[in-house]
Amino acid sequence: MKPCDICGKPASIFLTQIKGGKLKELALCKQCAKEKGFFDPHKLSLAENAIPSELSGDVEKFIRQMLDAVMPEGIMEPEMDEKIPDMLTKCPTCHYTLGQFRDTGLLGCPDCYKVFGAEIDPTGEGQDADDEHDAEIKPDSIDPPTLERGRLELLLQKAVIEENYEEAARLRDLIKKIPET
Amino acid sequence: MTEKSFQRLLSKPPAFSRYLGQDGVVLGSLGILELNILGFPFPGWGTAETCSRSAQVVLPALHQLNGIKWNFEAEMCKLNSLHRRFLLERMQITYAMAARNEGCHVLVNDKQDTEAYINDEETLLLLKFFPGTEKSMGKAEKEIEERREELCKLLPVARLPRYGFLASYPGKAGTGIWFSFLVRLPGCTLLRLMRLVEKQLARENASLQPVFPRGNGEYAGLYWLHAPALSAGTAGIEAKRQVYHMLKAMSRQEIEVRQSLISKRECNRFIRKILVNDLNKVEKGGATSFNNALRIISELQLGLELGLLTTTLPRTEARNCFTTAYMDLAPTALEIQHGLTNVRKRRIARGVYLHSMLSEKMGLKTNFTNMTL
Repeated sequence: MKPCDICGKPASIFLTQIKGGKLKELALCKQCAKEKGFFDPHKLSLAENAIPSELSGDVEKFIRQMLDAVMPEGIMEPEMDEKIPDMLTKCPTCHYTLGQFRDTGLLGCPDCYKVFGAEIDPTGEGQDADDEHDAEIKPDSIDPPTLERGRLELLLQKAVIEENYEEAARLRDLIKKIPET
Repeated sequence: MTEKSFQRLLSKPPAFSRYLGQDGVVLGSLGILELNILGFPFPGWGTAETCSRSAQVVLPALHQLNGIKWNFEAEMCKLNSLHRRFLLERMQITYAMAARNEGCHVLVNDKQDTEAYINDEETLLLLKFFPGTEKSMGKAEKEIEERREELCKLLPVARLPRYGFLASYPGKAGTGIWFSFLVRLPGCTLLRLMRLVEKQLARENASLQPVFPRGNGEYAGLYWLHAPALSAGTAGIEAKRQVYHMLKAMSRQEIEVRQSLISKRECNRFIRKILVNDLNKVEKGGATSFNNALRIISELQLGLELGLLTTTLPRTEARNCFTTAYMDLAPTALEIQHGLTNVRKRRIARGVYLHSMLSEKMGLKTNFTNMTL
């Protein structure tokens, strides 16, 4: 079992970050994670809520501080624009989080169905219906960039589930290039 | 909202309430269509600004619907507490709606059988009451489907082939249609069998809600039975079949209970005692609460239906009297229509009303001599 990067006890919580196409991980035991504000390893949104007040509203800063505390300087330089956890757990339209969906069982907007498709429909059949969806929605009610963004977001979701992080990063960059509607 | 439009609403009772005095078990069905609009958050998470914007999109479409003339239209923030309580009492808004403000609208048509809520739990809710037994459900569904198609042409409705029409709760996504049934279960209520009925319905994912929800409103024996949302495709056909069977089974159960009130010695003694007590109270015309008034009306209506009571009025007219009594005695109705703001005065008014309506006008009397027991 991987030891905790802070105290050396067996770790149960792992933070993953992709930088320059390379995967970097931080392992924490429950005790250390609790001290750092992570109460629920399965729900990032809850962890966000549990961040100490001096760090509230800035997850990246929090992660950076944690990393600074345990990593020797120069080994890891997290980039603030790499918002992978946010990208995967937040609806880009209404900013509704996966954690909120899990807590309430309700969704934030019609686009949440696409973003949280795997969570709503664990069989994955919802993702297969992507092309069909594009064909059936009235063409004048939704513009092409939105359709493309929705399609890429689904692919991104799929890549993350398959732990294909390089593909996920590539798709994320493609999504960023699509202008906001 | 102007006071004039509110007066128009007052001039007629809501459609469902015109059937409360009917015999039988299933008195009617309320077809509900729930739709959301692309590009707007679901109302539960929306701000006053997004709600107002979505209302601006939905309102013109509602005014374009064929054959519907909206008689009353108001934004929730324009209604005061009394108006809200009154609409709530007549089931013309939901509890969630009563608490909302900007961007949330309620519309009622001239016949008062169709209502629309904008930004309630979903962006648009269209409700229509259809009188009749469970057999009328097919016709009701067809009509609601037609409305849905009409609205789909007028609005960018949120819909995905995999899920159907999208709702804030994913379990409700599908056809966007579901039904509530107006049911009358005075027999089960009288014999304290309602917990059992509720358990049976819970197994079918259905639930009961008293029509008059104040305190022990279930004493009236009138309920809304909320059936599960109809899913799309073959699952939907199966769901409809289940709802139909559920209603049939519940009707059969209630009729058996009513028959037992006549045929079983103990049950018969029990109901006779209750009817004599109720008639004495009505005769005296003493002050009474709304809950007690509901219980008395419901029990006397059942007594008349079972032939344990007689009336001087023809049957249809007698039913109308019960129907009117249910709605006239509600607290906010007495406050708005008769200016009775004081609780004590309202209790006295109810006693007087019950005496004049049930005792003097209907001439209700016991008819125990015909009993077989």
